[in-house]
This record gives sequence, C-alpha cells and structure tokens, in this order.
Amino acid sequence: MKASQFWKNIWPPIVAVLLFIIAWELATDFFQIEKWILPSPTDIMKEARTGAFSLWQHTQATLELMFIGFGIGTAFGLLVAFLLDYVPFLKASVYPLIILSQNIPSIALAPLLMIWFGFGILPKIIIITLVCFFPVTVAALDGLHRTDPIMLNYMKMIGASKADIFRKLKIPFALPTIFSGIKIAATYSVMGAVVAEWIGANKGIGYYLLLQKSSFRTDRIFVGICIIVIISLAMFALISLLEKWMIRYKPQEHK
Amino acid sequence: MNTKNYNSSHSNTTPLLQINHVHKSFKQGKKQKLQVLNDISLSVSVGEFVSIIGPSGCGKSTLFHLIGGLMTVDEGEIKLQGKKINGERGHISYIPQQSALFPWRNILDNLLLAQEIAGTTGQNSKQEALDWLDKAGMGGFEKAYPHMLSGGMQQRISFLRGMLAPQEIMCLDEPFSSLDALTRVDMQRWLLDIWESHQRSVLMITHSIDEALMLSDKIYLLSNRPASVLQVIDVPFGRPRQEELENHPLFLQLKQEISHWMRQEQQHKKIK
Repeated sequence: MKASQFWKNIWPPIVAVLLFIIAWELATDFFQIEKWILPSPTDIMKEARTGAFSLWQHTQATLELMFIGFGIGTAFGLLVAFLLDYVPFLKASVYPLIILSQNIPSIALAPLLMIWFGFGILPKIIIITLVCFFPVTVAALDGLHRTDPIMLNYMKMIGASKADIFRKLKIPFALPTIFSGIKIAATYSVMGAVVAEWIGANKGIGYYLLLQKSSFRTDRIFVGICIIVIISLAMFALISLLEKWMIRYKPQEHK
Repeated sequence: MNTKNYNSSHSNTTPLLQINHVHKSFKQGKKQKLQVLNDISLSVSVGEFVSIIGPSGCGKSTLFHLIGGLMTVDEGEIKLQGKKINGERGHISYIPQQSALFPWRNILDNLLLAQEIAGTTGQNSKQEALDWLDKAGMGGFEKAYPHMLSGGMQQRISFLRGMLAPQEIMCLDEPFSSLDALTRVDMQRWLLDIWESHQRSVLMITHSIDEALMLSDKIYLLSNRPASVLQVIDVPFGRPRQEELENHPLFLQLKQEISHWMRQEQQHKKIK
C-alpha cells in the first residue's frame, strides 16, 4: 500500500523529466545547435564519464566544505534560537536585527571575508554558516513560539521548571518545524559552498565551474550543475530520513 | 442545608487544602480593575471529593491558576496541610480540560511525565504505571501513541497520569467537558469506580450538576463574576454509589435546588 502510493506520486515527475531530456536531445540534433552553446544530454553524459576521476575529487572537496559549514551553521542557528527563546529580552532586542541583517546578501560579504580571513577554509565556512543559520534560527524560533498553550498550561500547573518545559515540551514540540528549517539550510549549504569556491579556491565544484567558463566548455558546466543538483537532492533526502527517524510518532499524513 | 451527619463514608475531616478569603482582580485598561474572585473560602479534606459549580466565565479557572501558583492572590491565603503555599508551584496534581498528552511520548511515557517533573520517578514507577493501566482496563496500550486513542481514552490516560503524580491533591478542570454525552457518562462511571477504590483528595470544576452530585462529597456553588461562594452542599449519599442513585428522590430534589439557584444567578446576570 505504502510502496504503491510512493510510486503513484513519483512516476509523473519522472516521466516529465525523461520527456524533457528526450526533447532536448532531439532539439539539439534537429536544429544543429553548436556544442559550445547547448550540448545535448548525451554529450554531457560522455563528458561526465571521461572526467569522472577529477570530477570526483572536486566533488569531494565541495562536500567536505559543505558538511563543515552546514554542521556549524545549523548548530549555531539552533543555539541562537534556543537562547533567544529562553531569554525573552534577547529575542525582543536581537530578533529584529537578525531579520534586518538578511537584507545583506551573504554573497556580497564574500570579498570582505576574503580580505579579512585570506584564502583559506575559514572565510568559506563563514559564508556557508551565514547562509545556513538564518533559516534554522527562524524556523526554530517559530516552532518554539507556537508551543501548544494547553500543554504549556499543563506543565506550568504541575510545577514544571523553565528548563523542564524547554527540554520536555518546547523542543520536542518544535522539532518538525526545526526540521523544515534544516532542510532549507541543507539545500542552501550546497549553494553556499559553490559560491564560496568561486571567490577563491583551487579545488571543488565551484572552482571547476569557473575554470570551464573561461574555456567555454559548456558541456562541463552542465556536468557541474548536474552534480550540484544531485548533492542538493541527496542532502534533502538525508535530512528527511533523519527527520522520519526522529519524529516517529507522527500519524500518517494521508489518513 | 444538609449536614455532614448523613455522610457515611467521610468521618475524616482533616483539612488538606484550605482557601481562605481569597480576592483576585485583574487590571483592565489603565485605571479600571476587573474583580474576579471576591472572598472565596473553601476546603478539601483528606480523601474528599469536592466540586465547584458556577456560571461560565465566573473565574473558576483563575481559582485553579491561583492554587497552581501561576498567579498570586491579592488578599487571602492558600494553605496545603496547614502550610501557606501562595504563589508556589508544584503542590498539586492537575487534570486539564483537554488531555494535554504529549504526542511524541507513548502512553507509558506520558503516564510517567508528572512524576518526572516532580522528580519522584523511582524503580517501581514503570510497574506502577503498567498496573494502573491494567486496572483502568487499558492494559496493552502502553506502547501506543496518543493519536491512536479515542478522546475518551486520552482523557482516561490524562486522569491516570494525575493519579500517578505524587501530590496529595488532584485538581480536575472540567475533565469531561470536551467529550460527547455518551462517553461522558461512561467516563463518570469509570472515574467513580477508580476513585472509590483509591480515594484521593479531589477538587473538581464542572458545569454539570449531575456530575457533581454523582461524584462529590461536597459541592460549592459560585456566583457570577466577581465570584463568591453562594452555597455549600454536603452531598448526603454514601459510597460506593450506583448509577440508580440518579433516580433517588433526594438526588432529584438536590438537583432541582441547585438548578434553581443557578438559574437565579444566571437571570441576575442578565438584569445587571
């Protein structure tokens, strides 16, 4: 039942993607589009296969950067959210500033970070952290704020301490919301890593993309994009699995 | 008024919870004050089941918040076993209107919550919870999650959680009001059985006169806001009580009297 439901949901988009790829293949053939403007899917596949080894090394570098940044960013985001929720005065004073700060595109900060921290791994991790922490903080604060008032009243009436209320009620209650924030952060972290590599690196998918741009290797750029998409999807799936494992009590949604 | 003499099962009158001349008002706007409680006094003895009936919005929940220590009284005192507990938390076991079970905890872990918070979880806590579940006719549900149970079952778990709490006095805040009529009668019956075999001291808020008469030893009737005690009724029926009690002439008479007072009070409100 569950598996068939899964396939029912998943086959239409898969068919759509396949049709799109076939149309692309046929169009490049039919209109005889130059390879350096738009390579066909088969060209891209061929290129991916021949460059597999060096691509894997670049991917590894990006993954490493992404995981470190994502980990620090998420942890930092959760910490900030818990702290702000625990101390209402802090929330009142800092939260508006955090929202405002999002008007600064983190990518525009990249050159600045480069000047301050050089070309090492530190400025790159800072960029990813900045990109990741915001969705996590906002989601977590929102989840903590929306704690069920009936349960909250119950906990207060039986004399639960602030720490108990936080640990035993607020955090478990906010967990689903927190996870939706972490999922966004996960996909952002891939983008953050690529951008961080653009501004100064000697390996990684971002670096690879820059390199191919300067030699007009459109096919390789597509390969790079494909890898980014695959990493993003994999991250999303990974977090979803973690969520499923941590939030086991949830009733089935289609019920 | 009926006197205590009728009451066969309650010779024990050691006061457990005493509320003495409590006043409470809230600020409304800049200068105005909304008086909610006006000189409320009541007491619950050890092993006694006491109910409070009053018009809706009369400030019964405020009274519970005061007992629970979520607010402090303006005047008067709240005593537990002779000790003043004004504004102190953690002295009561509480059964809320909606079950307030935590959806991420299974039934067993939900049952243990009150003990966890009170810091009295012992080696036997688990076994005790399982025994209670059995006694309450819900053995085998310990691994289930709350959303798998019906509303009535959830409320039973909520009640058991209150029973398992270490505090002497249980406060029931309209515990059946969110249930449908059939389940409600069923729950009253169930509560009566459980309570009569393990008498704990209970203070219950309710809207239902039948419920109050059926379950309690003593009933306080509250007035409209600002609430004060209109009448105290000692319910003269012995225990264990049977459902047939509802047809007893004295039961019907008391019911009529209380309804009469309540109606008067409601009309009073309209004239105001």
